[in-house]
Amino acid sequence: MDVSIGIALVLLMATFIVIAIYYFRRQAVALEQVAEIEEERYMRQTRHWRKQDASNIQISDPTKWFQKQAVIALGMDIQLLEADRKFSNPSAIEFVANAGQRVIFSPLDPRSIKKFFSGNKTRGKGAAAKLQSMEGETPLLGRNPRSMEKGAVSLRDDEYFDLLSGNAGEKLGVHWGEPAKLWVYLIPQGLAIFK
Amino acid sequence: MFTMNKKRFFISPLISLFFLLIIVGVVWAQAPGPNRTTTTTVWRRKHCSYRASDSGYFCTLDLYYTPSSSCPSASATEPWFNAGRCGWPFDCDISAGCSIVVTHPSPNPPVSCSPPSTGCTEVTQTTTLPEATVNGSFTCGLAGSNGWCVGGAGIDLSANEPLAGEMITLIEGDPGVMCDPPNASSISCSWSGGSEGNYSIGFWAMSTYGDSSVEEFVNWRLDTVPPTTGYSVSGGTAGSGGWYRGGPLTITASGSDATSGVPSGGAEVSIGGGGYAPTGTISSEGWYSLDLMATDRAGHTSSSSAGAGLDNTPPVINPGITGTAGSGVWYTSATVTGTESGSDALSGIGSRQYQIDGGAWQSGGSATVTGEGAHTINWQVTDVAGNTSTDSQSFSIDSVEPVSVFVSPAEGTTVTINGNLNMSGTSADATSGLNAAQISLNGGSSWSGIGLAGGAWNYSWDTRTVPNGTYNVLVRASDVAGNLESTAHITVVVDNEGPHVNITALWMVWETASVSVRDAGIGISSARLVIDGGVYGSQRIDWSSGNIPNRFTWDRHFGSVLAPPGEYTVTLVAWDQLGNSGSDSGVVVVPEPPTATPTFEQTSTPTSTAEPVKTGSKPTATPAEVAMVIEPEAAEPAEPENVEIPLPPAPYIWWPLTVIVGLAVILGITGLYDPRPKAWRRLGEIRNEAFLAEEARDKLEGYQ
Repeated sequence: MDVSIGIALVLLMATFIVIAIYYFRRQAVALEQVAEIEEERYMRQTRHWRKQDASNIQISDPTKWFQKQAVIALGMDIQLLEADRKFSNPSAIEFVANAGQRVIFSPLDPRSIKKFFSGNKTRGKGAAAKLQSMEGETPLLGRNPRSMEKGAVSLRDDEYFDLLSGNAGEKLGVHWGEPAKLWVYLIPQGLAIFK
Repeated sequence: MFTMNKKRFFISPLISLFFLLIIVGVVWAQAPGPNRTTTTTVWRRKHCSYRASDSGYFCTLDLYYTPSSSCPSASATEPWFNAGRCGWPFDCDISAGCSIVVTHPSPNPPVSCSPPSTGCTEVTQTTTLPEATVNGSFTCGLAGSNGWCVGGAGIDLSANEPLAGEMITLIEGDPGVMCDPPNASSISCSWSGGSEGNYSIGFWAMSTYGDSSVEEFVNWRLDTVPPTTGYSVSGGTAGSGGWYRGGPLTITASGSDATSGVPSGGAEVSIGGGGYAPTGTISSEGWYSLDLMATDRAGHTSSSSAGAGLDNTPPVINPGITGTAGSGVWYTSATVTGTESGSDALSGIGSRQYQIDGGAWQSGGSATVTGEGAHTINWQVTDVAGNTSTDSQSFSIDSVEPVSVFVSPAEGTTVTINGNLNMSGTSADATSGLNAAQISLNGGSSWSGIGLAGGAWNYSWDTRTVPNGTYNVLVRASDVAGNLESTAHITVVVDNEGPHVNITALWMVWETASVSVRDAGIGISSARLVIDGGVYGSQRIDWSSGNIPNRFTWDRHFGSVLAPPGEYTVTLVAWDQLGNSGSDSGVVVVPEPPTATPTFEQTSTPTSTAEPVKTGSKPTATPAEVAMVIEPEAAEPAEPENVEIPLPPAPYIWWPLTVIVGLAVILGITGLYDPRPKAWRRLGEIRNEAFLAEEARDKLEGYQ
């Protein structure tokens, strides 16, 4: 009798916890969306205010610019060696860092990238497979996306960011327009797969 | 007390005189006038010179005389030219060819000399220098009529000082300093400080020489103030507010102007919008507008509006009375207010006056009258034009209700009665007198008249026609004015019925009979119960009030005799305190002894009926031997069954602890996996960053 009650209580608590976490996650997603809207507004205001007077912005060393953005976004000292791969759909550029990590820049946030690949890949091959690119079956974000680090840099950090990012991308052959925000993904060395 | 210091007494007139002289000097400014004649003392003598010639000889002769002397003629000097003079060897002989000519100029003014030379005499010499001159002309910016200036009047002034080195300092005149430009030999200026009027202003120029020019005059003619208009009314009697009575009215326009004056016929009036004329007539009742116009000699025209009315109709007087009306001329309120609300269609009501009972006249349209008795209000209403209407009101006041009192029974007492009740009393009214009296036997629900004989009344009431009870008997009287008093009263307790008596109709001798004795009236006095035993006699029990039981149990005895089986009539009689009685009867049964032995069993089932529960066993002895009293017993509840109730289990002390731990686990785990704080932080960071950036931009734009 007492054991049954105990089991019932544990199950009840578990149910409470599951329901609470579920709704907390939903609220968090809503807050994230509000934050994104606010960030969009903020960046729009920045773009409006700065008075498009920087049409002659040119970057001579795009790798150095991307390295600077990586440092800002990831909050760590990292040295980009070269641009390794470029992707057009989704737009992304991959750098190899000095410690063997891969640093990927993309205008798409993790959720969009995840959604993009999940819509293009066969089901049932695991989460890592879903994040593989269409090119050469090389995972874009590694086999274990949970272990990667990510950050973002945007017009919040530089009021001419969209012009600079567009120019830097063009210089490296990535035609991603003038994105107001770039996501930076750091794939640890052990998870990287080289060609 | 007034005391004066002697020194102050002496000085004060001097100071006053000093200031008076200053004031007179300022007000009566006069031109000093030119003063350029100088007198000097010099030595002068007359110098007469002559020249004689004869035969190549020449000689001159100078003669000196006093300045006032005349020079001698040439021939008169012949003796002076004799031989020896000028080396002449001969005398000059005019007749022999000697010629003498006058060589001094002609005329020959005296020449300077120094005393004590011959003829040198002290002479007083007077010198007059050229005077300063001043000119002025009257100027007018806005010319009126008849040479009057109606605005912008002034005097253009100019002055000149002919003496070198001297200058004109200012131009002064009757009003004082008229202009004071910088000193110059020639100045010109304007003055416009003249007041209204037609007069001559004198002025002169002051010079640094210390004198002034000759006073010049210019005529000043200024009138800037328009005339005032007015009118006079004749032919009627003036009321107030421009209203007149009588008539017809003659309106004469008038005007006045302090400066140039209004000529005859210069004031006109237009009555009721008609044409303007010096006079007009109002002959019909009504209010008319008066448009007045006056023109002065200077050409100013003024107009004003006024009004005048003719009202020969007296006001309509409309007196009324406010109070509680009684019968006829009587009012029953202590205060009666006479009001007057009359009107006047033309000039309106000017005043309302009233006079109460021949007293002083007072103002107002509401007259408050107090006091019992007859009153008269005289009204007098006057309209604004002075027409008067009068009226009067007569009425009487009786605000005091008549007074009635019971004499027998005494007023306010309570009497208890059966049968007839004779009542008497009196009523009185001091002012208007009694009108009628009424009596109510039911506390005022219905009334019936009672006869009045000189203020006394009486009434006989047969209380047997009404049920027992307490009655409020009221008497009220009304007076001629209509006042109805608030009644005299007594309280009558009617008790014509005996007590209600009830006894059980039939009962066994061992039972208890129910006894009920109650009286709706004055109350029970005593009761008696009689059991009629026939040949065995009777048993009588008397109870006084308060001791009457509600149960009766018979001991089956008539005195010392045990009542044999049978039925006996029991009569219960009760009396109230007025002697009214009531009775009831019942039968008590003494049964025959039973032939079978009944068996009684006690049951545990309680009964709710009123039947007695017999306990114990029926005695087998005959009733004649044992008198058994059976008392009804109240049903007793059965004793509860002795059931063993298990005790509730002891509280499980681990439950609260379990719940607390469970809640803590839930909160901990959900808090651990709660992603909302991170999302909140990110939103907050973005908003804060946006706010700071916006603030910085605002500041930057402010600088720009």
